[in-house]
Amino acid sequence: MSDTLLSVRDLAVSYMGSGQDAPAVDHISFDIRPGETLGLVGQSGCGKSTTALAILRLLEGPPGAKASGQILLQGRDLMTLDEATMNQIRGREVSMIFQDPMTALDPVFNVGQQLRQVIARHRKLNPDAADALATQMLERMQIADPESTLRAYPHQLSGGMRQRIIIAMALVCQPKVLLADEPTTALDVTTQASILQQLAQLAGDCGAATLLISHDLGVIANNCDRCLVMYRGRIVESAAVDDLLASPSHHHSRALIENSGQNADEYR
Amino acid sequence: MNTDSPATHIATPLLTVEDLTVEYAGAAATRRTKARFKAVRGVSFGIRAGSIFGLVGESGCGKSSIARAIVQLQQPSSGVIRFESKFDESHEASKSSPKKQIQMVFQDSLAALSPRRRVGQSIAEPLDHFQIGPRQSRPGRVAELASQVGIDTPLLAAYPHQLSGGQRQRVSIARALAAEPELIIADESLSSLDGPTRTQILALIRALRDQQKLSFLLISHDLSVVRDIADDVGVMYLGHLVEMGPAAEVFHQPAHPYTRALLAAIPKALPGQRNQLQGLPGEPPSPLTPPPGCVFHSRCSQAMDTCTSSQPTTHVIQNEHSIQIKHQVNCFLHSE
Repeated sequence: MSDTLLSVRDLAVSYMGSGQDAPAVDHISFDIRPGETLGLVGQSGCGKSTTALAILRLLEGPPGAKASGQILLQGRDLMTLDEATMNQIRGREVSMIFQDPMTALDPVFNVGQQLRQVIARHRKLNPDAADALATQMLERMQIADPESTLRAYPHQLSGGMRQRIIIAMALVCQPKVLLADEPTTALDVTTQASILQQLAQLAGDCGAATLLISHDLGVIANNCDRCLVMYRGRIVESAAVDDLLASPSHHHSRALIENSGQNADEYR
Repeated sequence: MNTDSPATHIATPLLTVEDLTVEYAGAAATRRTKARFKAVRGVSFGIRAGSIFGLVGESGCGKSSIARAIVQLQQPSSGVIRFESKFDESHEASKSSPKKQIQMVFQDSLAALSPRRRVGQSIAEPLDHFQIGPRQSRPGRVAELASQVGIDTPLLAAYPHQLSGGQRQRVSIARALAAEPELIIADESLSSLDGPTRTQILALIRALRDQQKLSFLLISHDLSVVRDIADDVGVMYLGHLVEMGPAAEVFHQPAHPYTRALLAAIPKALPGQRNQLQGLPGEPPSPLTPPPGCVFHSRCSQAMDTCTSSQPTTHVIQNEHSIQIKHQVNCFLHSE
């Protein structure tokens, strides 16, 4: 058990529609080890995001979605916990970064208020210490002017700045597990590169294990050691990233690599 | 492009943009200060008939402002945009208002198609608007256009929300084709599509270029899209065109430090890439207060003293394809 931080066992999720249920996640199992960055790659609609939402129990229960299986965080099954206990875990032990930082931030509160709210929820700190921590987190995300950024509202910031703030917010309580769902998909490549770097750095400092969800194998190749390939709700391949890219064993993994559009090694 | 005869290379480009400047009233503008936001600053380029011109750069660099100026959705502050139709060069009217010959495909296909119309009706609209073909032949023409982009006839009765993103983008392309344009502007049309779908749409664009000699202005923040398909490419930073040339040359021998940084930032799906990505330090400066001298100097690893004070001029790099578009760069590293 000591080698496993989060263990997903036989997780199945189906969205209940009119008539028949649509299985989105089809009995998958995987482990996340302490401190590692595990990639989860697949086409849109393959069940990547549903997996992350199911881990945090953020799916609306019946009649919305139906989930079964076990999600063991250091041996404790999150599926069996009541909502109040789950709320202690969300953001404190397991936190999540969403793709779209504009909708993830509240437009009517400034950055400082939103960061301090997360701190107040999970950590017993006096206001001055909370302020200092908020500033420090922004500095660690290499935000040049943390003081004025804390006073800014989301619409006043660029997409890259917003996502840096979301990452700071997700890691401010030093969670054990970070679920990053397409954290850089909406960003320019130059911004993506620096944010992926900062994300890895900060998660490493906090000792958080990361599940990095992406449709882009290039992003996975840059950030992960191990990777799961998902296709139609199932994990079709689980391998070390370099092995997967060098010799994919499932035909869908091969198709993903061929379609990545970045495998032309004539361009370096 | 090797199949083209040299003559088409020398011929006047289909679209010529000269010294284009586009300004907006800035957010900080008041009646007193009259601050102007210069989104595009003195940009010049040409699109050859039957070719794909890729325009790349980070968001906010002015790419879309150029597209909007070309289709007259935005009035340029200065500069010239010349469209030389290969069919009716004599018609001055169509030159000044090439609304039919230049069509646009937008990024968000759900927003670009009317939610209350069946997609077949959307494809038919340009036929009605421009009075193309006799009325009774139009349904047949719609089916023809749909099959050309790979949309099955039964889908024409569907509403946009019932289609996938890739299907909707095909419908948008079919609608653009209905007007029988000579140039299609695709503004981030592939950004929201994932791997296989994107590959299919790229193949469609390539086929339209090769078989119908259509020209494209392909705008993208994603270099890998442009790299796969463009004949010529322009790289923009903060309203300036910093490098331009044949795509193969710009991608193989990038001359501007910014182009090199963009290429280094593309994640590669290859083994041994762990922690290999390099970003650019900092954020792009605000276009309201651009840095003096070369606009890129504040993020450039090779910046010299001159870069902070004076603006680099255009330097043509010698190349064997000199008969085509010239490989040129605005950077002091290349001036004598």
